[in-house]
Amino acid sequence: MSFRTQRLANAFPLWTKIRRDPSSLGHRLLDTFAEVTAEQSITARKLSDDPHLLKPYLGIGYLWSLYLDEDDIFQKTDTTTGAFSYIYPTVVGTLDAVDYTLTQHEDLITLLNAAPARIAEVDSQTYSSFTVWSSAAPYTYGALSRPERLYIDITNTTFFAKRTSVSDREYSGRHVIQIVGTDENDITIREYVRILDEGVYCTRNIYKTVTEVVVEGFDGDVLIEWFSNAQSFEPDPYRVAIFDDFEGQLRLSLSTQVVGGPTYSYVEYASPRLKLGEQYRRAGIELASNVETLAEVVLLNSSGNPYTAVDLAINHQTSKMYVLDSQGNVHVYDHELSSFSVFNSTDIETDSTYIELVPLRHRAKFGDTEYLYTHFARLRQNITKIEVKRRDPAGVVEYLQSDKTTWALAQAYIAAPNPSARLPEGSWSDIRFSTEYDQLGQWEYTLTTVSNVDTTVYVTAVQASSMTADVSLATGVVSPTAVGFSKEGYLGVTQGSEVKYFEEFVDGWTADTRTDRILMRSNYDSVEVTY
Amino acid sequence: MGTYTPDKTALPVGLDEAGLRLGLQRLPEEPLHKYRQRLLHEARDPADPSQSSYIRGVGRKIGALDLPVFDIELVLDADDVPLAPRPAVEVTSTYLRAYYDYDNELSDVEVFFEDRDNGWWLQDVLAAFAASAYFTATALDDYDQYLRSRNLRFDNTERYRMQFQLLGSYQNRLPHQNLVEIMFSDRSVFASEVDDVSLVAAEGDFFVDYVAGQVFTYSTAQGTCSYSYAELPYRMHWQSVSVVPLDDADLKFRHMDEQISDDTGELERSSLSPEGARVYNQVLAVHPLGWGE
Repeated sequence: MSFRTQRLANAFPLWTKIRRDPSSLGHRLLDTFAEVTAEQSITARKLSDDPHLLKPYLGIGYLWSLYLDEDDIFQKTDTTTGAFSYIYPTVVGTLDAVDYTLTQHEDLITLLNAAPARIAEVDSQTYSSFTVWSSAAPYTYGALSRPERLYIDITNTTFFAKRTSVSDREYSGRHVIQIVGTDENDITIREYVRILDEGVYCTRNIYKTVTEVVVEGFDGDVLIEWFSNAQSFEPDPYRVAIFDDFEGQLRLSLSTQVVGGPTYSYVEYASPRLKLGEQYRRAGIELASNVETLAEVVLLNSSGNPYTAVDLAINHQTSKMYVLDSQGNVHVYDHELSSFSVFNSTDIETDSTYIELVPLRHRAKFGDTEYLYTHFARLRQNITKIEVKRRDPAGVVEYLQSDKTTWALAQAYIAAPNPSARLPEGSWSDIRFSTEYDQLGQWEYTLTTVSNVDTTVYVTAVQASSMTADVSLATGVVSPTAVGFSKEGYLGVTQGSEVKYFEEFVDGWTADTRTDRILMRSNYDSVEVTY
Repeated sequence: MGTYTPDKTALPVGLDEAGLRLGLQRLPEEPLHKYRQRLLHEARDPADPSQSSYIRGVGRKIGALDLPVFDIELVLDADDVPLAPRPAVEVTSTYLRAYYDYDNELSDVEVFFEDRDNGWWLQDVLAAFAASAYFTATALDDYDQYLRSRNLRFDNTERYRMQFQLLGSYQNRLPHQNLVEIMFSDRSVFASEVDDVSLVAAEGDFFVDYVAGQVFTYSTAQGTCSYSYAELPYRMHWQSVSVVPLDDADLKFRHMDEQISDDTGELERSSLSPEGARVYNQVLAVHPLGWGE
């Protein structure tokens, strides 16, 4: 499910199910259109960056091509009158006596954005420290081991000067970090990084040296490093966290939890509700959390098994998420929110209902126990009893028992406390109950409400989400600590006092039917084309 | 079934668009990050019609950016004052000279690039500075001892700053040190230069600390100043394609061979060497110096 589906749903009133419930039929319908625009929005973001020299990605500057001989040109087969389709060959590349069967991509865009099939180490860099500057030692400037962009991590801020502040008259009205230094060509550069709030920032410029850092407008701890060294979160500039009542920067962070034996790793999607640090910080008042969690998704490798994640990074070339595990493997995800599927139950939701079933979150964390609530939303009839049924991902159907806490296979009703009350609101008191989400997948709930005149049904679902990697790549790095991308676009993995850089290779091809040419992302000693 | 050998095919990217605007095309086999570095060099140090800009810009046209090889710094005394009274460093077509008193042409380091024993390689340059009492040279990451010294970038430390705006203050710290000469636009505040800051005692008195690049005035400063200065510390670059002006006086040591003058009986560089003949013939071929051709 696209991150943008909720934006379409937010066109509806806040009380509507299509807006509040991502498992609803309407929400899933909107997802069809959101999926189409999701890819376009990533492309649009990149296009806006494209003319800039300092954009975070370089692009794919070369392809490898071959013109097919007359015997091998793409063959056509008639399908209907006046139409035909192509028959495509099998393409096998041989490099250093190893055969690679190439995957066909339907067009050039998908070929350019394809996940890598293999990686090879191309460079390494020893280092003594990633730190270039820290507010804890403001007069010390560390050397960069190689020219790179700078990553800024800001934490522990208690004060963001307000534009209207008169207590600090030196304040110019902006929250900013100035970084002065030299670029790769030894030319002096100065970049102003606007700091809206605590968080993780990255310079556009590539620095060779840093000679001066000026922090203005806030009092937080600032750490500047030349490698994205396991920061508190990773911002995803190509996607947006959209909730049913606000949207903002999509922040990705990792966590782990033991569930039934194995250790599972999760990527947490979150976003700050208020955007400016000065909006919610008050002197002398304890700071409340400003970050809302959108989902916590279990990470699985390409074989579907859990692993212990160490760090993650976004590849700006493909906008894919790369997660490094403790064994030195890198898992590549074309990540998005998991989709709610068609309900397996035979319960048919009625057009209207008196009581709704509201889970704490529609995307629960696997392994957690979370509450669901009944909500007597429409006070039209006196309630006699309700039935709460759940269907776990394995298909086991259980009912909430009359004690309102335990689930069992036996069908059970929960009687209303006062079905003959004078007014409907006197007949029913809302309850809460919990489910331990110990299975990955979709948990379906049905609430059947029996009033003194009719019976209504309400259905909803909760997703204990997981994500399977498109590909898992072994780097051979022992005890890795962080993952990131270099200015050249190489995948960097750190271990001890060394960063190893890997080039990615895509074993894929696409057909240029106009010129009977095969276009490939990687080079091979020879390529064999067979039909 | 057929077996093929793939060809490399360039794919246009956003950098190519920027490169066209900057007049720098991507070179064959050039990695994109190197291309970006070249474009950034052009964007941040754009070519202008000056000799120094042309010399600096040739490398980025051919995809071989100048390498920083040495940092030249002044030796300071206990009071952090340079030992050299008037320091200057120059790299010509055939010589590197480090003057401790440029006004009187007194040099401490002199390296002849055509000297196979003591000036041929960069290691010879480093050795020469090691013996200096006034300068130190630090080798940088791109330094290699066997790079040819004659490819050091033609340059010197003499710089000029036009019209620096002075603050309305009794003291002004200029952005540069090691000043040589300075002129002020306001003749009333800067009427009488004195030799020490303690002598700034009357209207119009001013003192310039040429080493530190500071100006002290009796009245609050106003107007602008223009000054020349020596850019020290100085970063010395090495060019894979060396560019030197043809009117450089030291070029005769490469382009002219010695012969005995009939008039004086002394050795003079007055006969074109093979290299000199080749260069001058090429120049004449594209730029004949006579009318009517």
